[in-house]
Amino acid sequence: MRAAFVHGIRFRLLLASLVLLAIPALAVQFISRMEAFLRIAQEQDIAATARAVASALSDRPALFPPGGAAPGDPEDEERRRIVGLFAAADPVAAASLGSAYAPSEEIERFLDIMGRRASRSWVVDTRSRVRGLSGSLREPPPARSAAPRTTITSWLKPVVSLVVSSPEVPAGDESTPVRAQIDRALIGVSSTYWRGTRDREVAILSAAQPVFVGDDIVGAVVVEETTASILLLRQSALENLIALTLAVCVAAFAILLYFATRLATRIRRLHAEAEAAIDAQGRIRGDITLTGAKDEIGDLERTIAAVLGRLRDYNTYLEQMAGQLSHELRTPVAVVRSSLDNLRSQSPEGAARVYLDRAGEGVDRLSRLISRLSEGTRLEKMLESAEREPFDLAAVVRGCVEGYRSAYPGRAFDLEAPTQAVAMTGVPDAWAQLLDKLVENALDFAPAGSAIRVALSSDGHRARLGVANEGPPIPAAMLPRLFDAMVSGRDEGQGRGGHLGLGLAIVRLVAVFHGGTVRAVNLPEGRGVLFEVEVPLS
Amino acid sequence: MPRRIALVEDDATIRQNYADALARAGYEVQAFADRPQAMRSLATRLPDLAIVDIGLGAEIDGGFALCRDLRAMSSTLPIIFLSARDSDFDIVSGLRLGADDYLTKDASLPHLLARIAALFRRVEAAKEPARDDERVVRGPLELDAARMSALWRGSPVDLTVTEFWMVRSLARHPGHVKDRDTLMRDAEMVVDDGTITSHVKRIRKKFLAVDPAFDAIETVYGMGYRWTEKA
Repeated sequence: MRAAFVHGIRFRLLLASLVLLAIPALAVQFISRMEAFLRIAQEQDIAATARAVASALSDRPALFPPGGAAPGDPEDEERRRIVGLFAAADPVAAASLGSAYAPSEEIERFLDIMGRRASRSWVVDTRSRVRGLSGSLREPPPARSAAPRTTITSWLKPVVSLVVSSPEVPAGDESTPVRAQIDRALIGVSSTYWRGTRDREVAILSAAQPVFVGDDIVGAVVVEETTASILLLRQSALENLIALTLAVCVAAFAILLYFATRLATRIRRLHAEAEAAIDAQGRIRGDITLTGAKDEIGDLERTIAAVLGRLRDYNTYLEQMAGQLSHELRTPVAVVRSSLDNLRSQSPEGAARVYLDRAGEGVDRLSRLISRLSEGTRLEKMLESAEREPFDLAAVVRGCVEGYRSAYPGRAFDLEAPTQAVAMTGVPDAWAQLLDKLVENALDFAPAGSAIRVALSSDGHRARLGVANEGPPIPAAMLPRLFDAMVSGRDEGQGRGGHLGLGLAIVRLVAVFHGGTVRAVNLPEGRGVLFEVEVPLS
Repeated sequence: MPRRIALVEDDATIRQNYADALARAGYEVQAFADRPQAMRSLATRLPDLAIVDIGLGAEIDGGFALCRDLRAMSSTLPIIFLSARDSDFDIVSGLRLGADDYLTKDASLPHLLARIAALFRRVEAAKEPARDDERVVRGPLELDAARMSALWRGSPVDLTVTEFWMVRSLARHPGHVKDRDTLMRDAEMVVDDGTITSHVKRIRKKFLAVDPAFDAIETVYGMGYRWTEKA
């Protein structure tokens, strides 16, 4: 069963449909491309912002005085307090700032105006003092999209993380910009830089830009942003895409499976019908039911049906040929016979008479052969038109055996038959003919002086009729073919001649007509040969 | 005056051979090759017996048609079918059309002559004056050989000559199995086993048409038939 499935059409189609899995894979690839593109766009964006802030601060020497800011500025106090709060949350950031924080009110106002949402801007002067700090990377979590996270997307999360890997970035500190980047900006090199955070998923993008007063670099602007928005975008796109493509794949699988099952069922039905159409003897027994389908399987059905039809016609032709042949041969035989009879009636004497008699014998033999040839066809036609009637098989057998005893007084017949009736429905005349043939056959084989044993038995459902003789055993290879027309188990020249083995074909014809079977077996220890017919009763 | 036999046979050689043999046996023979020819001549004067082939030239069932026409002209004319066909269907069809006998072409000429003689004897017997054993009464069955009539429970059963003699042979000795040879002898006919079976089937059908409960003719398989009397 399992092997049949593995070799079946359904399994192969399912294997072939694995190609469909390329669709989600392609979607994932597309999304990572999109993400890369978004990152580049963000980089350019943030670089542009940094440039804009830097150019706004340029050429304002007042903002970057060589000295520090006035201490005791209340606003500065306030800012320190905020930094303190910030530091309480993040000791590393507090340590990194320390007394290096020397903010300028004007610069911070600038930054507030020009800063982007969810970004943090720093302004650092050449002495590495932070002159301005605005914004925060810890943006408030954006309102989740209107549709609440469904179980499917949460269920898909492991799948998504399995197929999408975040870009590799070096680990970094989220509280302060990277020192090296600021240093490069202070010598005039603008740059963008990615660094990781403690949150494995989120990276920070920073752009640094020098601030000029005239040709001198007086400070640097650093704008930072997290990739959280991109991540979020990527996540939801991935989830949607994967859910969608998976749904498409499942639907395609289901359709393919249905289609393959239907195909396989039709082909299996055709297979079973084709197999049942021809029986073990090569006779055509069944038919192909035409579904009228217009596809290739429909064509196959029609072709098989047509082939069977042609084969049946040819078989019928072969079967009828014997009858036709005998019909055609009869007229010339009649010409010869009537001529011989006429010749004989003119009573030529002497040697001519002998030859005349021999010619007559030859014609007799010829016409016996001819009637044997057509016997099967004749019986077939008789069976076709005969009405089945209820009768007692035991009575038929007893009557026939009585008849044989008087017809062959020199031979002994043993009869074993139940005393009660063996009731069945059929054509009793055909049974008499069947028994005639079995007995004729037995008489031809049985050695002189031996008895022919006729036995009938019944178990209420099936009846067995056997005729055994003590003749020589039949070669095993011949046994299954004995009941075919034109096969004779006897040696050439033995018996009365003209035996084409049609008798046993008639036995089979009658048995099959009554739903039964025939067989021939050699009895053990060379005790002869048994021909047996088994038929269902009623 | 010799009896006249009409021979309708399309094969010239066989026709000539049979005609010679019949002439030698003392009959006057009129031989015809096809149906129109035979009808033209026979319509004016009926023969004493007709031997008809079933296939006549182009007409594959010409003999059946001819038999029907002849039977329409005379209900007593003995008709023998002589054909290469030997299927039960052809034999039964032929006998149903009212033929008295059916021979296949491999029958020898002496065989054919014997049957012709038997048929003529039967016709003669029908014409002979009444004898004591002419009337046979067995229960519901009444047979009158003088008029060739059969009555079953008072209703006439329409039997052909052959059938009548077969019933008479069976009914004269109820309970005795008549094998096929005895039946043939008693009915003064020479027929094949197959023809006897066909005759018996037809006789049964004719009685069943009159009385659906008819079962007086019993088949003893392998031996023959017997007349049974019940109630």
